[in-house]
Amino acid sequence: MNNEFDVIVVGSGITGGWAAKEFCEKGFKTLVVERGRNVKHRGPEYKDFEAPWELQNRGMPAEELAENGHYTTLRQKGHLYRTDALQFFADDKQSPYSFPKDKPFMWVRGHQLGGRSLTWGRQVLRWSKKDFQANANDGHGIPWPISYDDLAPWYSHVEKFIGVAANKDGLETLPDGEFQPPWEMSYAERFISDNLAKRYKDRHLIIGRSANITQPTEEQLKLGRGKCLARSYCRRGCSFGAYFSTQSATLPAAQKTGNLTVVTDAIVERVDYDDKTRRATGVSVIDAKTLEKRQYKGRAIFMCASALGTVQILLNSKSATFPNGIANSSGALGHYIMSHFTGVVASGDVQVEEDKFAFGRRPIATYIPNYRHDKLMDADFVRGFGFQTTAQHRSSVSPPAKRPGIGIEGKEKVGQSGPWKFRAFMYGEILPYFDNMATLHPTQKDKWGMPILHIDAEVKENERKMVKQAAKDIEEMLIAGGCSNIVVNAVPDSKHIPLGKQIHEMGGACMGSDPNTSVLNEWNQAHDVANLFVTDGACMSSTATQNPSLTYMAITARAANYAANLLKKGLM
Amino acid sequence: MLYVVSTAVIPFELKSSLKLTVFKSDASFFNAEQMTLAHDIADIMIPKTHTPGASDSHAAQILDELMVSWASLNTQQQMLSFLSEFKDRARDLHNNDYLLMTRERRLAYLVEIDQNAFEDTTSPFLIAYKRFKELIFHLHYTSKEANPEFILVPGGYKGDVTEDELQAIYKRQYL
Ligand SMILES: Cc1cc2nc3c(=O)[nH]c(=O)nc-3n(C[C@H](O)[C@H](O)[C@H](O)COP(=O)(O)OP(=O)(O)OC[C@H]3O[C@@H](n4cnc5c(N)ncnc54)[C@H](O)[C@@H]3O)c2cc1C
Ligand code: SF4
Repeated sequence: MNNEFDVIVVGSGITGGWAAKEFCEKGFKTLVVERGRNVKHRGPEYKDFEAPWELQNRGMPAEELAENGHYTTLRQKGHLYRTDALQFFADDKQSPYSFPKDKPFMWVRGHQLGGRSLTWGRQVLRWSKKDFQANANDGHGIPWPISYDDLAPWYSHVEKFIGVAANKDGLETLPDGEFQPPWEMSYAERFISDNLAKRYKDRHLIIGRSANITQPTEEQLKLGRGKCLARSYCRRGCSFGAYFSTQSATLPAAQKTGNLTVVTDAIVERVDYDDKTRRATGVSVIDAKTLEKRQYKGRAIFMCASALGTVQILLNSKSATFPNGIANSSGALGHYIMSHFTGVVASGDVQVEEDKFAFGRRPIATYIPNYRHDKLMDADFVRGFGFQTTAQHRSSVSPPAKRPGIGIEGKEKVGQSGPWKFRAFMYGEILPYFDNMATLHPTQKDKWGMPILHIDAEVKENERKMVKQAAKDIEEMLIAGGCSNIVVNAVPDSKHIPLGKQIHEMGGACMGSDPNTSVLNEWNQAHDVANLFVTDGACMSSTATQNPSLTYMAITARAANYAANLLKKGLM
Repeated sequence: MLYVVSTAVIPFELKSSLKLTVFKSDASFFNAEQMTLAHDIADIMIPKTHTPGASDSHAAQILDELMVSWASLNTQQQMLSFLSEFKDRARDLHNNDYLLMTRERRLAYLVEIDQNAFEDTTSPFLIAYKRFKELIFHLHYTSKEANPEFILVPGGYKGDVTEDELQAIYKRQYL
């Protein structure tokens, strides 16, 4: 195989797939290097046609996995630890990372072709003007070098391609985009939404915006993608190609051009750098099966290995010029590690008519966007939080598996309809703290010889205050929404809130205008190395409250367009 | 010493009056005796009514298979000890072999254990009982028999339908 390419893309997940598609469509010979195995679209690893009784061990992973210390992080996530999609999650026994004992960090990864694009929740939300202004306004972190307006056309570009089912809600804090018909709310969700609208001007319950297509476009049909049929088995891989993933969308689009080369089972160990030309020359990889090392050369390198995956590689890319990691003259590499956090979970019964039900498994929740931002009102913190919420179906009486009750009596009530239960999970914006950081472990290496990542990050006072306010707010909203039996659980100050749990880790190679304080410029180009770009979550200078992947995709497409122009002009 | 009664000794004429399914040969993990016991406990926990019971969903047989494909050595041991002690206790308490007790007495014996299990959280036997119960319930309620309305491909989502509309959709098996 020819080892020289125009562009090397590291990682094949949501952002890597986008970088590959954009460069291939622009005519560049593109190599995607993926550490995990090849996963074929509609291949045997997809389990979307398995009924509950057909799942391996009825969904329960073999017990010896837990006994032998496998999947520690995923087991803590509970609902993700099932045999329907276990194949798409990395085992942290195999790919370890570390954290201080008192600050557990949850790093949920997908090490295979497609990365976490196969298992993600598909909630796709634009950031608003305020979100990009936040760092500059309140002085926390590095001010964003781009604004909403810079990204808006790229949001549109991405939305048209991936397919977003959403309602045009007309909210300043959550801009509308290029939408396909939305999913419908349940009767109970609509009831709460209407009640909140009567009470508040700035707090809205909306239907989630989901990358599941409800009205396929010509382009989507040509890629073999079909309409979503509401099975909610998305994380098993969708044979209809109805949700956006690398396999269903960006990879086939890139492959069509004839410009794409994909190598799997190839772990990028470092970005190679030439101290004389001050350019990245390519990447060094370790063969995941044979441990053999080899190199690929490229004119431009796009880092898309996921926020922390990219930070690990960059820190490990040491040279005479960059003894502490490539493109790290600022010393900011590995700093400002962030992730959304939750500290409040609330529920309530919705008081509505008896004869109302729902049918189907809608693949998206409802959402209460951030309504605080710079509006401090009664609050003593900066930024804000939103809530991922749902009352998709009426509850029903569960079998008494974990409570007393057997025999006819225990059985007869099972399945009977109960009230609609509305549930809300806070998603808070953590501030960018310089001392929340990731470093290479001084001694520990993984089985491939790569130094493991040590992640030292925690929520601080601002976030604790948010938790308290979120608990008050959601209780008030559940009452205003028409709920009874309200239960609000807030994490007490004494209890650690693990970052990473929401699987929205960000930062580590932040964008900024000042090369002395940030790693990347406004085009995601390393200040120090002109042909090195980082477009996954590592580039984020703040987290906002919205799920981030749509923003990563828009940023990736924008940076790829910029890099493509430089390549065309021979400037890289 | 464990008290073991072979299923072979249950008098033939008693089998139907005991409403007992007797397994004659060993299964993948449990022997015939243990299979008979596990199956009976499952059937009493989730009896057939107007909807299928644990016998219809073969919950105990599937548990037997999972003991090989899923369970750790600890769980295997826990299940074996549970079944053995379950019988011993029946003998001690009721002066009779569990498998020779009437269905009513077997039910009463199980109801008592079930109630105690959620009060006493320390007894290894009761902990094992809860584990057994959870597994049987999981296997039954994820079975095809217990989910006649399950639709693999609903075709869409409707958030506001009446009971009648819902039943009509289930009938045509697609939105
Ligand atoms: C259950 C779940 C639900 C989620 N829900 C949402 C949601 O609703 N909305 C949302 O916006 N986001 C959601 N996310 C997060 C979303 O999946 C990520 O933000 C997104 O996948 C990040 O894209 P990425 O390309 O940066 O990383 P990934 O998709 O993780 O891809 C990174 C790729 O790089 C590869 N890689 C890593 N290291 C190396 C190396 N050294 N060499 C070569 N390859 C490497 C990995 O194997 C992987 O394939 C969810 C995630 C999960 C798991
Ligand atoms: S809900 Fe839609 S996208 Fe998800 S698995 Fe089903 S058909 Fe595919």
